Amino acid sequence: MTRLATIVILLSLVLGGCGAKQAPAPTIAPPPANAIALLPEDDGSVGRIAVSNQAGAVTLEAPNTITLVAAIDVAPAAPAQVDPAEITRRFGTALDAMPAAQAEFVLYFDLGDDRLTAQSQALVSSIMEAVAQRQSTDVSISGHTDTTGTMSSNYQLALRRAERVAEILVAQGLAATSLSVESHGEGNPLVRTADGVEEPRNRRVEVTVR
Amino acid sequence: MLKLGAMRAIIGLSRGLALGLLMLACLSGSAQDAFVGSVKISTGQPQVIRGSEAIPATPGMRLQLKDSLRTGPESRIGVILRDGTRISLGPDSELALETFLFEPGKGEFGLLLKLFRGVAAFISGKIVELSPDSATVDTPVGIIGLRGTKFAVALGAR
Repeated sequence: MTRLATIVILLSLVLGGCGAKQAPAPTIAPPPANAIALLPEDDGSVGRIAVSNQAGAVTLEAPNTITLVAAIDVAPAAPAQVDPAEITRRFGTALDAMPAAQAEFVLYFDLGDDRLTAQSQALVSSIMEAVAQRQSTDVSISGHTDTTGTMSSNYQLALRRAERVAEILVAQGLAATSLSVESHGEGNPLVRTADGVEEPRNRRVEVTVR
Repeated sequence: MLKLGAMRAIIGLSRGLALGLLMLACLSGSAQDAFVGSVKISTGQPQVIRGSEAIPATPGMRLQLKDSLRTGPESRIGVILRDGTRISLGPDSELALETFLFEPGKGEFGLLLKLFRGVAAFISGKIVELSPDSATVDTPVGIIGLRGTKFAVALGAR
């Protein structure tokens, strides 16, 4: 009698188990998808991004914070701090392919002239190094003057300065096709002054190597 | 067949026209408007999609407005735009350069990037520095407004 009862109980347990197996398996939550992270720059500085969609918006302001967004009609999740390993796991393949930052140089000129100061002459080799390191095909040269002289003569002077720098760089082996040259005349001073003011810091050519 | 022939003729014609326009643009010195950046890092075989063409993305290649960057399962790409913005894509990713407006002299700025799929990292440049409200990355799950500087996006499970 007790043996029969045991068998019945066991049988019902097994059958019950089978029954449970046939029921739909509990859905396994998919791994968190669609992640957006704010990261610190190499110098440690951090910016800010706003993530928004049909259902809501969040702002990321702290380094290594992440928001998960399930879909366009689901609000972005509250920002959460993650460790660097998590950042690498999610975004490492893209982060590894990040190019070097552009390099910026400022060259100075003698008053009213298109001759580089001796100090700036020495920067030319640094520019060529930056070009070589980046295998750059995009070098911008912009010429600037101070506010002595007329606006139109300053436009011409700034252009001459920029072209002079372009000549120097081409002579050093930079492909002319990689260069773009422009004049800002007296319109984009480094230091704001009244009209007709001699200001050595504004007599310059900016070179950007990308 | 006739239709196909006609279409090819039209495509041929429009290519010729495009080339002519490009040459004209070069002559008038405004071709730089279309030049928005260059490829810096290329591993595997990433591509630049330009119109209906898929061009192998090699370092130094110049990018134009409306170009898309595309990577396959084994490839990655890193580019720099003319304002210094840097973008890199991991495998199986696609991003379009929709809007690029960088005219500091005129105070005109704009940047719109569309990430369709995959994983991408961004470091903003002068556009965001000079005009913080004019840069956006569009994704299938929402838009990202940039105030700088470095951030990353991964679409799909990873």
